Amino acid sequence: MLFNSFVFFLVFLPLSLVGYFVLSKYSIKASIIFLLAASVYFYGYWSLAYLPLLLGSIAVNYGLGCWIKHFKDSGFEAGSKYALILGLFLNLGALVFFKYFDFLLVNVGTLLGQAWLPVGIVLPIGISFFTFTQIAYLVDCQAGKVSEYRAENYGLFVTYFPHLIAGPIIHHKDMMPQFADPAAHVFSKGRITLGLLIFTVGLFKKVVLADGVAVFVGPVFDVHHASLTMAEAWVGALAYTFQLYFDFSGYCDMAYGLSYMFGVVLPVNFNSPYKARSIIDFWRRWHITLSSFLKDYLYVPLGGNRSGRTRRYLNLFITMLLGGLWHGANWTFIVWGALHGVYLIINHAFRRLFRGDVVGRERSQGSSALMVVSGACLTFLSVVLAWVFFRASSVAVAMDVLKAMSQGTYVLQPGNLAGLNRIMNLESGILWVLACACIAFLMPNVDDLLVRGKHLGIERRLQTTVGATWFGFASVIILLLLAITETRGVSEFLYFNF
Amino acid sequence: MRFTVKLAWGVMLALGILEACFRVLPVNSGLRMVSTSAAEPYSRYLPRQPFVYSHGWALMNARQGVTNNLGFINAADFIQTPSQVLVIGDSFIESFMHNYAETVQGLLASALGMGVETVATSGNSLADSLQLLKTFAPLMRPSAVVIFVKTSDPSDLSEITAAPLQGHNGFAQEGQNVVLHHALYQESSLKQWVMKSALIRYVYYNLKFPEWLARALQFGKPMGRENDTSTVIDRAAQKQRFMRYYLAELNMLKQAYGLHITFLLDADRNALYPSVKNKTQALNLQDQADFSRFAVDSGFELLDMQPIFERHWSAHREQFDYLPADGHWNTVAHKLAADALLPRLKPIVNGGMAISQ
Repeated sequence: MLFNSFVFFLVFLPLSLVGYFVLSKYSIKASIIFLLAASVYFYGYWSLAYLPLLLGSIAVNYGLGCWIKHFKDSGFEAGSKYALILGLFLNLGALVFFKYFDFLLVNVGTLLGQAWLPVGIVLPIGISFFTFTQIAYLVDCQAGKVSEYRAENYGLFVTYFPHLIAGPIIHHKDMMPQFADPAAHVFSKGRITLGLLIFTVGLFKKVVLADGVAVFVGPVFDVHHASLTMAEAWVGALAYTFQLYFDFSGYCDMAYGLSYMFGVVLPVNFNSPYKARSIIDFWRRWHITLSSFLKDYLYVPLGGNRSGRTRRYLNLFITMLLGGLWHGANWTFIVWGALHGVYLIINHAFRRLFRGDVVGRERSQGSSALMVVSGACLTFLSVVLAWVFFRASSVAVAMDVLKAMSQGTYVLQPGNLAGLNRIMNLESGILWVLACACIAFLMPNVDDLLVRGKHLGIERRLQTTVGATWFGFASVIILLLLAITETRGVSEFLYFNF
Repeated sequence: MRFTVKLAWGVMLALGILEACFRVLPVNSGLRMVSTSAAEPYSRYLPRQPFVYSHGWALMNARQGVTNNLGFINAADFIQTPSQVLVIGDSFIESFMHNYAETVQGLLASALGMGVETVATSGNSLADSLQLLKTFAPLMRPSAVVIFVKTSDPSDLSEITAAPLQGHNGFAQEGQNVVLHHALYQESSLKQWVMKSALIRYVYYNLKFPEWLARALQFGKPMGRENDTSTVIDRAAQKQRFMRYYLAELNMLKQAYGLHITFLLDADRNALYPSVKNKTQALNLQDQADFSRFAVDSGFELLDMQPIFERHWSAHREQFDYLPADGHWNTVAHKLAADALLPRLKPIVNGGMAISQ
């Protein structure tokens, strides 16, 4: 089920809210079990075939978590480590099998001179997210950071529908207290209205901005990549840059708003990343929960910055390479990750050379506007170039587009009847890209407007009749946006593919 | 109670703001159709009607225009003198998103320097083209007729056995005979009234929400016998009967009025583009092959755009439509079609006359 569909908004969401809050009056445990069942239904509506995988994964990881706790409580530290290793093996094994088996098969075959064909394993939706969520849980269990072991709460923690399919990647320690908090189970008109308003912002980003600019991406990357004018290639690359941002951040806003209605605050995932002034700053703003996961569970265990500069750079590179691979089984993602690894190494080296990054220097000494602007422009340009690999179906296609961006690979000829609008309405594409750029660079994000966390003051204000007006207002806007997306053909979120 | 009133106020406020926004945007105005009757069994718009056209949710290809004195779009005004060429078609020829000079008929008029008339309305089928020729051949007395035929659209070959849309014609079997059947269109006064709202016009014309709703409500209904082998064979035979009837009727008109008729066949454009995502609408090749064979056997000329589009694609990599958003021909396709028609029409038409649009 998609957030941007009538069936979700008019049927699933109201029934889930009513069931959750009615049951909460009698029993918090019952309401949690109800929300767990609703979330499982949400996933099953998508893909019944992979429901056993999800449920099996939850059961195994919950069991392993209890096992780790038991070993730790009985002072058998080594046992808890073995259980963790088993958990990592099972989780990563499932991920590798479903996500990378075909990729490995083909590439190993190529290395061995064998033409092995992919067996066609279909990626279960959300597997990357629920696997990472549970790996983090097991590691936290082993580190003694987990104190809550109720099965229904754990089940809800993994399946909770606002985050299940495409994140954000959540932490056990952040979510469990919220599920158990009695205040979260009390119905509040103000909270529902605020959640609905945030949901509206996300839906607008997805339906109007992301899907609107998306029409200028396909012709460049899928159809005409071999012969593009410079302008076409740049419009395609920039259009994808904004499509991906508005699509994913729109999804995250919608997930945040939905979760807020249930009294649960999800972690921040985006903070206007294209306003970043350096690549380091970019990774503090883009897909923040993944960056944090990679830092906490990969970069730091690899040694982080504790073993000298060279080792630190190597750790950074490995982390970004694997972060790229996490997005999908394709060399394009590996190149994308490697590029960002190199960017980060250069950025850190540059910082070291000049003793402080652009942001730090600005804060401490008041760096020049020129430095800030050039840092931001260079960062944005580097990110756009890397997105070309992220979007392209192969490295060869990405190279085609990059070559066209540098010098053009097609020159308009007298026989061209459509002129500039040869493969798409280029003027319209430029306007869309400019509009998206203005919004991404100049407007505040939901985070800036609200400051994350619980907004009890705003909730109280929206609890009054003012809230009713906003509720009615947002409902109409949402219905129109849903009518647009449904009649156009509902488009999935890009991160559902990862 | 106060909560409900305030909620209603919020709803009204949002509707008001949306209405105000859409009033300044080029929302599709729609066009009022003339009610059809047994005496006038074809669809057309009210004559001299101004309109705003835009396509889809993003108001793509926005354009303003006025219908001609007969109620057709992108058509020269009809004057009571014999024309040289009559172009008959559907929305591809009507071509809301283009100026007259960019359309097949406009380009032909400009190149031939003589009267080119157009009778084309959205949703027209093969049966409509027959009805239109029956009506306008005696009135316009053209030397040459160009009939546009889509091969992959529900209103043409692939659904030739389907019941006609309101205001349009279809073929029907009455005993042993095939006949033309017209579905009457009567304009609803309620529709006229509600379409004054720009927001409603946006939802109705740009989003085509009622069509989506109808499809959504049909989803999941049992398929019935449509896919039974016997039903498929029956339908194929029925299609062939209807095609033969159509061509026989056209032949009679051809002989009665001394017409030279050329079929302008659309191409399977999706097959040209390398994107897998675009290949959603498969062309019914059997229907196209049957129609082409019957048409040539009956002495009609065919202009198949497939090889022409293929050549242009391989040389210039230009699309011929607005896919994936809109499958209608763009100016490239119109120009190529006009260029291909010209050498065929020039020997037929002789002498020219100025025509006013």
